[in-house]
Amino acid sequence: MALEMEAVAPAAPETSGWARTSWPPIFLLVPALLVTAAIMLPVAYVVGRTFGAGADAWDLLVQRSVLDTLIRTVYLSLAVTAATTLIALPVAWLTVRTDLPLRRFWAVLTVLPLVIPSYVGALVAITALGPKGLVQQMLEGPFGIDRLPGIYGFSGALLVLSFLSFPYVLLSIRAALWNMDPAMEEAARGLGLGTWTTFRRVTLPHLRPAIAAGGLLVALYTLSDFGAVSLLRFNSFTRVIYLQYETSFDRTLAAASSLVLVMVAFALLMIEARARGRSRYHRTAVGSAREPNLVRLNAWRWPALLGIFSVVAVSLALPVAVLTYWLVRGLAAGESLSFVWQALFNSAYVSLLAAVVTLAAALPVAFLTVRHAGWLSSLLERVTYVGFALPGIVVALAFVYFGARYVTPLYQTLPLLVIAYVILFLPVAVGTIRSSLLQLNPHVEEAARGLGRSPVRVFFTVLLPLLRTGLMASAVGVFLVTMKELPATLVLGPLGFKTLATATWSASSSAFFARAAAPALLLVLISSLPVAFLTFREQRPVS
Amino acid sequence: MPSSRILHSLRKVRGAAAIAALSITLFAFVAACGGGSNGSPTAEPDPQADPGPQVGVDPNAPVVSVDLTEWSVMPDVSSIEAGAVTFSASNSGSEDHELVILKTDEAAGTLTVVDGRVDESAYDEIGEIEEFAPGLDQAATFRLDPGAYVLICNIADHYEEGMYAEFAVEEVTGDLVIYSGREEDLIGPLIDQFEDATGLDVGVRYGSNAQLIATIFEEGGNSPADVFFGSDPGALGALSDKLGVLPADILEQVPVAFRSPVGKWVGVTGRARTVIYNTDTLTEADLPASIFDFTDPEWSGRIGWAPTNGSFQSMVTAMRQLVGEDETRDWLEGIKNNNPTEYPKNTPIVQAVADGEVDVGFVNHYYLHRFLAEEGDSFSARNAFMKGGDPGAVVLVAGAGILESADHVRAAERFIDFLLSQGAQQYFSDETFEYPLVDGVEPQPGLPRLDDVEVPDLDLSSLSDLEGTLALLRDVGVIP
Repeated sequence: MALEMEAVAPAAPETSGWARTSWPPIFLLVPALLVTAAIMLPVAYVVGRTFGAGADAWDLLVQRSVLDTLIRTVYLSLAVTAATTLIALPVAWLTVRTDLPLRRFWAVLTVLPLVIPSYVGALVAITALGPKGLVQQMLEGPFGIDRLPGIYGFSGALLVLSFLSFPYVLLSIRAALWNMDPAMEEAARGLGLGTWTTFRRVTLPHLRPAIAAGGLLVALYTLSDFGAVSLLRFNSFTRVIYLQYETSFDRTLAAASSLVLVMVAFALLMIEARARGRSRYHRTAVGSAREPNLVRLNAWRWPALLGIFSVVAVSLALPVAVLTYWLVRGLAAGESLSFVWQALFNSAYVSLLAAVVTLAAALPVAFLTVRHAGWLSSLLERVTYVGFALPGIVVALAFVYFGARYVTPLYQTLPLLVIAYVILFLPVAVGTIRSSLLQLNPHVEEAARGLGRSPVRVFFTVLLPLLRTGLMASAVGVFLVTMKELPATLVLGPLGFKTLATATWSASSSAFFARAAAPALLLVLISSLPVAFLTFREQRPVS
Repeated sequence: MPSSRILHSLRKVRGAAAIAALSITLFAFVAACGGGSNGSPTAEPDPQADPGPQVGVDPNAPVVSVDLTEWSVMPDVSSIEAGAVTFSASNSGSEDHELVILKTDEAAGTLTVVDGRVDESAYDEIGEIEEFAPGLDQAATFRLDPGAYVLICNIADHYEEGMYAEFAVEEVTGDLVIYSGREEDLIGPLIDQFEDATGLDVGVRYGSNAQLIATIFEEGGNSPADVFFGSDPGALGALSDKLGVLPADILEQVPVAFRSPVGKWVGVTGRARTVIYNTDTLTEADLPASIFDFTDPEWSGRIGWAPTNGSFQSMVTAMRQLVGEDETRDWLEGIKNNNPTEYPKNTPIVQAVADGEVDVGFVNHYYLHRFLAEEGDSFSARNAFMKGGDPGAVVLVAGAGILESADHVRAAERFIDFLLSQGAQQYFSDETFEYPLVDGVEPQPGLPRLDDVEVPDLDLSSLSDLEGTLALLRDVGVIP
């Protein structure tokens, strides 16, 4: 991609990007190619199925209503992306760079909404904010309000998806803020710029890759979401795909529609590449960066607290309150609960596994794109995002197809399930690692090389420690989204493999809300542990 | 309702342990049923029973070849796994012989003999192949529970000449893999019971019907699944190509109306379509008797429905069968003109009706009872059953079938047989408030009996035309 080449070699227009790019080392290229090949499996499956469908698929896809649905879906996706950025940016800045009271506490709480499954979020929103929901009942007595504005449709989907997915952007920005050299901001302030102007003219531009990476995840996630849009009656493209499975049991038409999503995803990837910009993001000064001085909020702390409190109230406290209400109501009605320790263990275990393996798979890809930018590495990196745009069920079925046929002994075992998670969630890791890496001056590695260390040793002894914060943020992100993953777990898990997410789904789909609430609450509780760990370990890398 | 008559006649037939012709079966298959599952004692022997001229064979049952000659009975195997077994007897001797199957722990040569013949009434007689001429072959299928058996020829003196053999029927052992479109909260406890009762190692994959069906299709011939347990006739029909034919003695436990017309799946529980209404704004008396009356403008903006839901679509298929394509289209358009609120499935409709978001909703009957159990009697919604054989009161089923590619067919048969046992049917009735389909188990108090619900005269086999229904729904514009 031309953009990438220019980013590295703006001063060398006479040589092609091809020639300018150093050929990537084998120990990075081979794993990256393997990862990419695995990523292409779902795409290959979708293409294969679409050709199997023949003319029928084409007839279905060229309907006017399909185009309308597609436009509506992309519109929602962009709106959610914008909204999540607006929420995440101030939250990230407040929790990393200011003396906001209890800022680590808020830092933990604002990441947790990521773990709430979207159908639970939607169910909660309807229960609380529906036309006759809990909030309306509370307002009815004192204020005589007998109907709230509609939660259904575009506005409800925007609200629910934004508050569930803003942590994608948040995690990415937080890692970038930690890695940023405060000297630049200090220099700006020293030159007489105020806090706000410094933020706008120095900090914000440096966060561009992080915002773009997080925003891309949100955009793709919104494209692929089914749970929230179906309950909130927003007719998105993924809903159409699910309905093809649910109503006609038709795999070919569903695959053909998924191919359209893949194309939309590529379009969004182009937009993101442009939004990333082409500047350098690493520091060039000698010496090592130090901890930034926290911005003193003074009187602004109260509005800041109110703002962050509102975000936590809507995105986390509300769902937890409704889940607790269901649990208590069910218990009061004599509902019996069996705590599923096995599910708890499985969830934590498999998510940890997924986080570690995804990190290992994401590193070479991210490293190649940043340090060996060229057509090949940017293609590899772009491709990793495709799985994220596909509805979970499509990726799962691709694995069923290839797994049952070609690796039968591995089919429906933990290793294959973990590979499916890696493919689904690789972008969560790649983006954050990539933006952390961008902030690292390549001269550090070059110096290490110059001192006689092999590339492999440099990679493990210099780079990895420097990238620690970004790596941990990625791992936590992958851990959280794996905790709530449903379709792949249901279809590809070993027989009898229960997780908190499957337990929640099972109970809620048979209307046992109390039984659904218990594992959902546990999901939030368990997930808060690694997030807290990440938050309290966060620090500037010492170079 | 005709099904109860069928059940009654079935019960009479099953009471006769000896071979009896069943005119209503698919295979004209002869069963001497061992009385359901759970090792319940077999029915009393009935020496008077007339085996009839035709002897039926279930083509799916494994075959034991038995050579009858002077003076021996020689099965080609000495044991087999429990379940339906076809005995194929060849008379290679020079006299007429017969094959009688007795379940007894006694040694084959020491049975009680009266007047040159074994006293069949002293033993548990499973069935027999009537006396036939030399040089001929005769076959019949029997359901055999685990235990020791003796095969004899009981023509006078033939037993004492040595025409007997011991035969063992073994417990089905090993694994069983179930793909369940029904939720773990409901099915899990039953699976545990089944494992305890049989010692089988059961693995279950839970998911939505559609997810699991798509999975089975993508697995090609390599599906690990033995049993598919689905929650509506449309799903079972969609998988029909992948299912094998069930043994007749399993199918016959359920009325004809509630099973696959070609024997691919059997209904396990019944689920009635009802109209749920908000009890704050309506009483049952305010509701019309027919679902067709909801097209009246007085219901404008007051209806909740789930046109993408499988049960709803099956109801529409039933409506097409009952009143034809045109009237069904009129109804759909009429409801659509009343600006119904669309929900993804039944549960949110029940919640929305109770919350007063809408006044009425078209749902399956049992969801209400889950809410009542959790929220108590103050929950502001109740079901009303449409009257007069209305399509709004059609009874659908959740059911099960065995995959053609199954590795554990015997275990799978045992499981389905277990689902139809009195205990499991009672469990469904108690826990899920669905209608038991097997005779002898009552629906929950508070539910109208199926005989009292004026169920339309229709069998579920006619509900396989899901494609036609989807085309109509798309055409009317209620699904994308």
